Amino acid sequence: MSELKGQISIRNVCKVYDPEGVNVCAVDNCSLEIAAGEFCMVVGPSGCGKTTLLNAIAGFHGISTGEIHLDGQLLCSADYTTPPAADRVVVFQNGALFPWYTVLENVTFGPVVQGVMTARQAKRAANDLLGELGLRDIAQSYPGELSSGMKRRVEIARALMNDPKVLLLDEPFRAMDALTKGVVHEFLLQVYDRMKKTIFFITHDLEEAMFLGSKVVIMTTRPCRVKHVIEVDLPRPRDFQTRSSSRYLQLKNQVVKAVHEEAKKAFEAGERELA
Amino acid sequence: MATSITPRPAPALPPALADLSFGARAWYRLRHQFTNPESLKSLLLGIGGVVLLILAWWLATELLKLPRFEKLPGPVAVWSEFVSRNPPFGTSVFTPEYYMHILWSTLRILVAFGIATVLGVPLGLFMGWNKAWKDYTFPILELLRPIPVLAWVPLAILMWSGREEPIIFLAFLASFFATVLNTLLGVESIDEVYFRAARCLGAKPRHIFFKVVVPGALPFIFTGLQIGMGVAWFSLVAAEMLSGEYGLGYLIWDSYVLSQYSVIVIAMVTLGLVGYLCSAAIRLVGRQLMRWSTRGEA
Amino acid sequence: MSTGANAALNKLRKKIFNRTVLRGTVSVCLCLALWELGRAFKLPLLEAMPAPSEIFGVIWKLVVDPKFWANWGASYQRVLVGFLAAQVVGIPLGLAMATSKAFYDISFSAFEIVRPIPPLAWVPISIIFWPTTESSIAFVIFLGAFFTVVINVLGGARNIDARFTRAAISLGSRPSDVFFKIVLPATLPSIFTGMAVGMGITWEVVVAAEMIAGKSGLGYLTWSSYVGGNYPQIVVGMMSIGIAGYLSSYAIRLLGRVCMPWLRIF
Repeated sequence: MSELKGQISIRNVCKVYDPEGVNVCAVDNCSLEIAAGEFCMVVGPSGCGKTTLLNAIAGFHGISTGEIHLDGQLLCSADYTTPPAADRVVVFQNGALFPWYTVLENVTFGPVVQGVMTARQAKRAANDLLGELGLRDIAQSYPGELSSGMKRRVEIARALMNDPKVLLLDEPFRAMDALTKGVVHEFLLQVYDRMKKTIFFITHDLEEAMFLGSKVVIMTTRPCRVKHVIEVDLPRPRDFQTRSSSRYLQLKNQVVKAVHEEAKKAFEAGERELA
Repeated sequence: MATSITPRPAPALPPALADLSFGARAWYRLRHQFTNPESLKSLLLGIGGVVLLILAWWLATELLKLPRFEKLPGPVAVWSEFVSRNPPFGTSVFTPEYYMHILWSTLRILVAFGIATVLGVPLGLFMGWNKAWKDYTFPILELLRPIPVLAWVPLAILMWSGREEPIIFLAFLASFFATVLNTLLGVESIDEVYFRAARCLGAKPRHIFFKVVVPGALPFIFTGLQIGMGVAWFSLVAAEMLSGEYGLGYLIWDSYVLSQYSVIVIAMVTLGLVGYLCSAAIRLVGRQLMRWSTRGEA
Repeated sequence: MSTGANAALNKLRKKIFNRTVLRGTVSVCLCLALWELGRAFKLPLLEAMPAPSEIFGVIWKLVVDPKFWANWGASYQRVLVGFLAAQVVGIPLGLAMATSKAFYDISFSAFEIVRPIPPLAWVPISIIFWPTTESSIAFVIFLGAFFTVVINVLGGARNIDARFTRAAISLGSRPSDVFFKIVLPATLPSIFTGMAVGMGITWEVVVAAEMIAGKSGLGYLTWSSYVGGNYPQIVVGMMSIGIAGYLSSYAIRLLGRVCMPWLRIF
């Protein structure tokens, strides 16, 4: 691979929902540039419309105005939506491993349905990938037999199998305990250090965002707008000790202040949790 | 009283056993049943309950000859008929007629249930998959469904000229509705996220159909098939009673007309047993096809 | 006109004139046309069926005939008696089986041996046992609904989330409180599911029993129309049974909504 791919540019995007004539503005004039190979964390209170943005990039629905480009190519605009494809794979909030397939069958799903590999080639490649990620032992298990942390790792492996330009992660570690989260975070960091994919990662957990990302984008609530963009200049590779470095704490302080204001506003506005 | 409400899960398999074959697991469960004092007590009480039922039946009909009960065939009369080499009413384990009746009923069920499955499952899948298809077919189904299958009897006889066809048609109809509706429900119960995941992994519609819709709906399909099998037997009995030349339902009605009352009980129990075996067979197939859900629980 | 009323009207219009309703209407009309033409063109299966036009002719004669409505009454009476008896016996039995382990162990296997026998197979035994035809029909109807009711109540009561009972106990409930305030309401949804399924079976059994042994009722009407060669009336009978059964299920759904306000989602 000569050059990094996966540069996303989001320009003045608005998304208006119209259920029963009441216009709900989920995303309002949102602009954001994500460089190729950047680990971009998008932080905002629950239900602020981050997922709407991610769904638009993934191609699950269109947008009302503005444009989104991927590597200079139009992804979606007001009257055009590129359908979902394996160059931008989503890892879903509550997990979407097919429970009826084994880990290996899940991981080979992408290349096989796209027809880029035969079943045998895919199996070999998947075994290699699973081995590389330390997941070979569970290749024959069904998702129902795995812990939540394992499931997320497999799901990330399933996405990587397609060699996507962008990984879209929609609060993937939301319902996890702190210890499991720590392990999965390290896993994701290792994956990132090795593969240098562009990652678009949605979360409402600030510490997670600071720890993982190169860039943290803080969103306002309803309508969703970019409020702050913070470059996190912590050195890589990062590990659990990064969290106790002085630079991390300093940055955290700065961000917490910015977000607290926003969260309070959302709370006072009585926003229901939607996400 | 309150403490016994908490659910009692089936004995959990030790992890090492989770990967064992079906036979080995059954053996483990069986051994557990006899060695664990709590399960052994349940087993004995269960057997006691059945014995009590038969005892009460015997007391009421044959020993005490209670009013009204005296007319019913008692367990001794039924049993002696059932195992007799030369049965007075002509139906026992040694008479070929007995098996003939079982065979006829089972064959009818197999044909009816088979057609209902072959037509019902794909129809249900398409209905769940394609909104337009559902819009066109669902109202017709909903208009016909409230009509009990047995109300179709006269019309079935008019529509089909032969003797077999109406019977099979009725059993088919009962099974068909259950299969279609459960399959439809199964497709609609699949979480939207699986469709999205498949699409963003590059799946084309046919992949989504065969790799998401079909396996995702499988648990409900098998529920539908189970129910379908039950109602197929239900309607078959009625149809055979009204018109039939062979079959267990016919045997029951014929024995009643001929006042051979013990044969009625033999036929009823056989009917229960064969029906139960058919449902068990479906469960077994379902479990084999859905190892992902059974193993996930283990 | 105010804007609120206008919006409501718009909503109603959207509800009635949308694509789903249009497609449904088209397909039902197509089916009716096929049915009508099938008779005229002697298509297989449809040839022997009375056509919709013939049926309409019969309906108008029937709806003014009090004997027709007497048949409705007879069927409804049978359904009501058998169904209520099944509830009265089945619900307490199911609850008892769910709450007492010893009773469950002793009764469940016996119950499971009898359950797979289709209800209609009981018809002759029932006729032999009960003194009148009416009581034997009622017994078979009772059996049909009974097994479904017990299985549903049992399943519902056994699957109550243990957290609820534990919460109740830790809040100081006596066993009777746990039963009446936790087990009973938590089982209500299953009880109503059992009722709905049981009602369906009840109508099946009523129709069959009336065809086999009845002297009145909608099943008898349908069967006697067949025997008497009045074929269009068969279809009217079937339609009546369908409507009657639907109304019964609707009544149960309505009752369920009244009894379980916490399940109302709107």
